[in-house]
Amino acid sequence: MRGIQRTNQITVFQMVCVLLLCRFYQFLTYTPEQSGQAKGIWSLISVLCSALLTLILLIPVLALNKRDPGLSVIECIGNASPGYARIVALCYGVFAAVVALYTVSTFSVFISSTILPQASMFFLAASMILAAWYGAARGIEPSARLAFLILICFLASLIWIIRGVVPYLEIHTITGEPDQQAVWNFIKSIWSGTARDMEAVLFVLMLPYVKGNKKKGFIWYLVLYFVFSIVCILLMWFSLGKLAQYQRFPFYTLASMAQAPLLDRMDAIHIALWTFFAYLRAGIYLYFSGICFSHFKVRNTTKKVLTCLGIAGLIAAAVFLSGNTLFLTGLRYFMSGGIFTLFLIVVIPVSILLIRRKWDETK
Amino acid sequence: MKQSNLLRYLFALFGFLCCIGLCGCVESVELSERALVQAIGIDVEDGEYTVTIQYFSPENGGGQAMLDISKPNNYILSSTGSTLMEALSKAEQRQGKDIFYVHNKLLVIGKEAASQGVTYLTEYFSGNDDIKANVLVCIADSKASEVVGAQIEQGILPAASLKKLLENAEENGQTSSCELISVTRSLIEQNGDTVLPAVQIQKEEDKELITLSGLALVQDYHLREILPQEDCTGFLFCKKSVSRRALVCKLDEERTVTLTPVRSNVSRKLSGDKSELTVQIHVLSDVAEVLSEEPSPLSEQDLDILEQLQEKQLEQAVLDFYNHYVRTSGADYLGLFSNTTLSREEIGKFLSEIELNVEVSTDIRRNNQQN
Repeated sequence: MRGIQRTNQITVFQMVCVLLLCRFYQFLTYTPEQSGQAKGIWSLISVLCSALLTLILLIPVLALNKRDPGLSVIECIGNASPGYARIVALCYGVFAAVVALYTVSTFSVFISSTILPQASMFFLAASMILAAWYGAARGIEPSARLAFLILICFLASLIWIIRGVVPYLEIHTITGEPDQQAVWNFIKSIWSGTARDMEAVLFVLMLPYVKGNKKKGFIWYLVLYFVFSIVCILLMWFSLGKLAQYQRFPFYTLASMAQAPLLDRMDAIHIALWTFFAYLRAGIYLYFSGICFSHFKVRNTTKKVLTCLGIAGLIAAAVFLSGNTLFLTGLRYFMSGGIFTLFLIVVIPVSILLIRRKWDETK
Repeated sequence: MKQSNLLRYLFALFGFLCCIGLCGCVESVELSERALVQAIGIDVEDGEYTVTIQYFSPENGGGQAMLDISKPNNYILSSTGSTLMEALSKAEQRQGKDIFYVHNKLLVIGKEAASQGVTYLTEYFSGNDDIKANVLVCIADSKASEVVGAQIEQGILPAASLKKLLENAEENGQTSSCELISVTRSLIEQNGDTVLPAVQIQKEEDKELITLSGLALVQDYHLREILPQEDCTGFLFCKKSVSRRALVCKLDEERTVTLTPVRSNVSRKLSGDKSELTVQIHVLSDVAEVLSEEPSPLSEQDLDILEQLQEKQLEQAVLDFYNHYVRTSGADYLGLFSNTTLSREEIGKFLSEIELNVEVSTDIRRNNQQN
């Protein structure tokens, strides 16, 4: 097991780019409610605290990786419990597929509600999933390289948006008025931020494919995400104020406010970038979903049939979710509830550590 | 290897060419089939909404070419409905083009319509992705249909001329900021209180002109009154940085001097218990014009006197505005309580009882050198 050679490897820097981009997809559809219940500056502090909490929760995974570097979480189980390995593979695979599905669905909803109301949901979902599947089929490395390029474009657009929004900035104090439930709201905000960090699970899946100091890379990801999100939140607060709560997509509103000499509306660039984000995120999660499901040994023919059925099923599910916002909202609440994420990044690695220790002692 | 590279490039080119054809997978509308809206006017009469839309149309403006700069290049469309949405949707049915709001520049609200309420600014226009965030909003001193329908013979489009008027006025300190995003933000944060520019139609020798008539004070989403231009000085200097707004000071019996602010800075500090408001204004001005029977240069002493006169004038203007329009009504036009959770009644109480201190300091540039 230790001798597994992975040809599809990326650097720590590429890993950080991928994680940032995937996390930022959620941020582009940010609404003020997502920052949790904490008010004012406490919601900003809660972002920092949730980053620290995420790092702490990843200790079992890092310990597992230290014990068996180069192996995925599923491979770490080894011969200790093949049945359990399959269950773990199924859990991670389903999670990754659901995230890809959620990404495509929210993308379709955004496009159909803001840009192309007359567009067919089937066309949007099918084209995105097929394109993402192709990207997934190429492996992690091309996606990581693309992530770097998209990140550069995003940074450039962010600078341009900041420049365009400066005339609308009204800096004011953001202390946040205290209330009786301030502490409890603060704790809920921290948990909410951690629970929404599905990229922690992505990090777990990416571990065997990254060469370099992964822990340091993940810390860099948390720091950079914290900085970017604070900048974006402050931009929204100071330029939109309470108006942000009346906007479906406040960040999109910011982009439409910003003007450039050649572009009357920057939101066209925002939409293009968001399409890239959605494509990359869906592709990467589909890739790891496939990696997880590949632990189930099936014949090649069966594999191809299952792949086609899987793609068709994803398209059907994406079309269904895009047209039923109630189910989509329910899925969002389920995934941001944190139970599934906690299970995948804490419970499973801890259980694997315990199983391996018992197996090694028995052996 | 070379053949495989060639195949890759060909495949990539083929993929790119396929993407061009994908445009046919969604509906498209030709540019000639679109009515590019330039201005929207809203009036209310007898409980019915009347929407007046000005859209770009060179052929309907009487032009012979694609764009005739000697013609208005627009078409005026009106429709009525029991609600604003009904009126807007009926407008689409009254002509054959697909109404496209993305290029809309202006939102003009009639005086009567504004008196009955402007909640649709936050409820409809603010969240509408077709309406740009920087659309300019203003109140018509009479009917919005007259303003939107006025065929101003300046520039390519009347709406563009009015937009330029408002932009220049804002830049010159003649009016408040009136972009939709700023207006809706102030309405939400200031409990429905905001200040908008007011425009009016003037007819001179068979020509129609649109001019600024003052500032429209909106309280609790309803138009309260329109402030004439000469009474706007206090609000403008209290709210934002003002430049190029003429201030006339009578130096003595024989000389009247017009001062032009180069720039001004204002800071507003509310005390912790919200009982005292200190407004500090600093103005840097130039002497624009001296009216006298005999031309004579201004001495240092004259400039000192002018500075004092200007300070008194501005101080009085701010006090007059606050005492007449803020203290009596309890409307938060200055946005002093924008980021609080106080109720409207509490804010009104604070505003009516606040002790206002105005500190104005002015510098007049001497010999074209900054002091």
